[in-house]
Amino acid sequence: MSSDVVMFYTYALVAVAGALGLVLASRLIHAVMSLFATLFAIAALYLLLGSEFLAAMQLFVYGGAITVLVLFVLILTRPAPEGADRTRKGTMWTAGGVCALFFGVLAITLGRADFRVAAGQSHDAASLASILFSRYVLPFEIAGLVLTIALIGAIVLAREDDVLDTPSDLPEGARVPGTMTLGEAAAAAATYVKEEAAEGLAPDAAPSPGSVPAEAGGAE
Amino acid sequence: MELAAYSWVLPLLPLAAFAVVLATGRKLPRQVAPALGITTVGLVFLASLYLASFTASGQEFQASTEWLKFGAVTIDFGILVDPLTATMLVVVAFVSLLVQVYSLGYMAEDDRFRWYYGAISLFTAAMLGVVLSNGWLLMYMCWEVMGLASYLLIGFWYADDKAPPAAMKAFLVTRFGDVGFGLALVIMFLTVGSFTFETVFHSVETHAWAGPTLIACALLLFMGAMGKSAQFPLHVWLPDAMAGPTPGSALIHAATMVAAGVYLVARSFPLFEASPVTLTVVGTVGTITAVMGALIALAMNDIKKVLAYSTISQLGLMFLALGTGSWVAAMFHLMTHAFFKALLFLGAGSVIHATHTQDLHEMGGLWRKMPWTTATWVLGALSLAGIPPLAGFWSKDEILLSALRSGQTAFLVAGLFTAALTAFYMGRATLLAFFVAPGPQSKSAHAHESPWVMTAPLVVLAGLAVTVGLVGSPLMGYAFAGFLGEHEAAEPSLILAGVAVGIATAAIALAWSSYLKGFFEPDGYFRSPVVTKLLSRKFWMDEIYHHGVIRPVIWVSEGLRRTDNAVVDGVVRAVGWVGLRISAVLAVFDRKGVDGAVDSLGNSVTEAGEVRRIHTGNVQTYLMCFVVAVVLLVVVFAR
Amino acid sequence: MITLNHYLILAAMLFCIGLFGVLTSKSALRVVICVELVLNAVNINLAAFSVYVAPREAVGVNFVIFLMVVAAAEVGLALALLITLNRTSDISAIDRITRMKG
Repeated sequence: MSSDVVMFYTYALVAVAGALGLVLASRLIHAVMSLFATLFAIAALYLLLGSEFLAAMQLFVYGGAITVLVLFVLILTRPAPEGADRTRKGTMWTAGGVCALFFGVLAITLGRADFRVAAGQSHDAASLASILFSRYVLPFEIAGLVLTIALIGAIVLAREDDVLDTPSDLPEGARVPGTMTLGEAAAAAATYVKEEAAEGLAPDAAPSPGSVPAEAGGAE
Repeated sequence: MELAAYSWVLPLLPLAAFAVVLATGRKLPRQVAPALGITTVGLVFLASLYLASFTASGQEFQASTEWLKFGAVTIDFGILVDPLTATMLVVVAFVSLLVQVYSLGYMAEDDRFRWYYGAISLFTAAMLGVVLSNGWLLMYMCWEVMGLASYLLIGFWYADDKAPPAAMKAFLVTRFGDVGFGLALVIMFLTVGSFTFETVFHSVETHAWAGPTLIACALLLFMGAMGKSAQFPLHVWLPDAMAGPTPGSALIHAATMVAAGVYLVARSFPLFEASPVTLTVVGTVGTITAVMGALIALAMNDIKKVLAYSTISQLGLMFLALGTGSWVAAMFHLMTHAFFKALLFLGAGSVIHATHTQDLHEMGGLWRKMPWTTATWVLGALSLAGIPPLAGFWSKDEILLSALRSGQTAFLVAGLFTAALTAFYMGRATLLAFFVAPGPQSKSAHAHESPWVMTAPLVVLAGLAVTVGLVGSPLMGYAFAGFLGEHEAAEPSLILAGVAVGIATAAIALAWSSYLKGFFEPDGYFRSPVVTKLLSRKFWMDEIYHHGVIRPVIWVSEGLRRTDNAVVDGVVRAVGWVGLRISAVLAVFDRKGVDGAVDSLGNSVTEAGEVRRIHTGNVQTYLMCFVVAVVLLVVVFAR
Repeated sequence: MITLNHYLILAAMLFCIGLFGVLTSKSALRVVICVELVLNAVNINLAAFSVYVAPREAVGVNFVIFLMVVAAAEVGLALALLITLNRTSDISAIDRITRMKG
């Protein structure tokens, strides 16, 4: 048995065990730690595949940034009450059955599949870069843009002085969707009219005079 | 290069007008939108006149280009200009042009004037696409866009509480028919492997394609036609569609779009001709619709609803003609009907504009106030009633003649009966609106004649309603039939024409003697409670849909919900969700018109709300449904 | 000898575990990290295919890098959403968020 095989099974075992821990651990902090183990094992698998650069990236991005981010969120948010993270038994069994079935089908199919494997020297970071900065330079730039936008979006979303006055989620049944009282509708319409007017925008599909209640139309 | 080769530009002109309206919105100067619409459709009209003369000289034009290629299968799309196309082009462009001119007056006050012209332009573009396409696939696509434009125009006054449900109902009922159209396309593609008329007709003629699949395909195509042309039992949307602006109704729900079903069958006629079964089905559905529509029209007090049921009935007559094998007679009636029914609708619009009511009993005595509207309306009504030498007489005579020749007595009797009813209800509507002395609740005191932009189209259409029938009459040697390529002239039957005219005259006289002279009790047939119930409830069609379709679906989904809560949580929800969707779709079938029964609407909405609980809003439940479906697909397709 | 199929089956296993977590976790945070696991499984597939099928061209590996970018952006936004949700309402369990009702 070569060292390759031993290493693969070791890493795979760690990855799967970590994944199972992530899913099954009852405390979130344990789940995040299991995730870290899985991500680490996957980085090792990249090394085994001969892609040092990917392994490094996996450690930086996943093992470093994302895990730390998740930990921060875990600290910042209120802890869920004990045992709240258990869904109903029926859903558990259905999901388990479906996922097991899916894995079964995939495993059988992949076990039988015969890929046209090509021999050859593995690529190194230089060959990766030569493609990334030539053929994929536009996607590379766009990816940078995506990250920037996501960053701005995250800041806007998580900002403390929230301008969006999100109403708290009412308990089930307190409000049937689509049943606004007349007063609510008028208030909503008035807000809409004011905001639109404040922005100097006249939406094309503005309601005809008859469709807006008198008090809303007169609010401006 | 032949000028006809550029006819693919025609649908793009109104489409461009629509795009401009869509893109600019309120920034567009108010008068530019109608200018764009009228200019483009005017150009199309001129071009279609040229194309008519082009095809009259015996030429045809067809061009197609490759669109999609899947392995060995290629799908083409292209255009075909032949006499049938040219006829439809002229009718569509002309009626659209007149309606747009008329709307300058009718819609002048409306806030969404520009959007109205945008929607009309979109409709015109789609309809031109339908008639120009050289295959069913492109036709189907334009057909759907046409449905969208119809939806937009029915729901134009969305703040009104009747318009949005009516628009939804029209959209869903016609879409139900279009499912058939879509399946027909699938069958066609699987058997012939092509969508173009030429290829498919060729394989039908050579009997390469025959048997049950052909019959099924033709019947499914007919299902699409039934939805669009409001044939029984899919007619329920058209009366409600009258919630839209009247000129829009005149164009879409009277003259052109609803006739697209007739065009579809006429265009696909070789498929229908191949088996007598399909023709019988077409004829029977048309006959039932013709008689039923005419009967209901007797009981309507809303001037637009009278016309709507009249349209349903006349479309039924066209399908009757198709069922007897005479597509030329059907197309002839389609053309004359487009002109006189557009005239009647625009006339009704003029009356509504003046009196602000649609109730016949709130009118009366309008002939003094609105001479032009009255004169043109009377011509249109007489034409519809089939009084010679007006257009409707010639085309209706053609239909009756084809029924006589086919030897199917039931069709002939039903046709004559419809003609009598038609003459009577048009007499009733005309007399009540224009000639009866105004009653106490009449609103015609302050009525005034409409501006010239509205009366001018009426006069033009009245001129056509009088004369256009001649082109298909024996007097001009059946020029229209010859133009469409049917050269064997039928022996005109003077007896049949005499009988038809006699019946129509008698019916008009009956209407005159009861509504104007009072020899008989006006609306006397309402004394029998059975008749009243039957007619004013429109043969309980809405109730049948409610109890036969909507309720069971709600019960089924309710049962599913219980099972779901008791047994497996989650997976069954997918099924319930589908049930909910179906019931939501069908709940709209249920919407009623003006005639009360608002409570049944309320009930169904409440019940639909009950089922709605299955729609949990829980993302994970949705995701579960999605994953189950994907896994099933993988299991099925994994090898 | 470790073949491509080994890597693919491992990735499939991780994918299915992640999917199970997404479907059954009530905590929104756990759902987010389970999505990360799913994305990692995909990354393994891409890297393995790249190395075994086209070793000379590092195309698949490039895709892994792009996927990492997308995953980082996704996780950042998701966590910001979580913080907002946690602050403005009392919800920590994802199945209580049912405002997406039709």
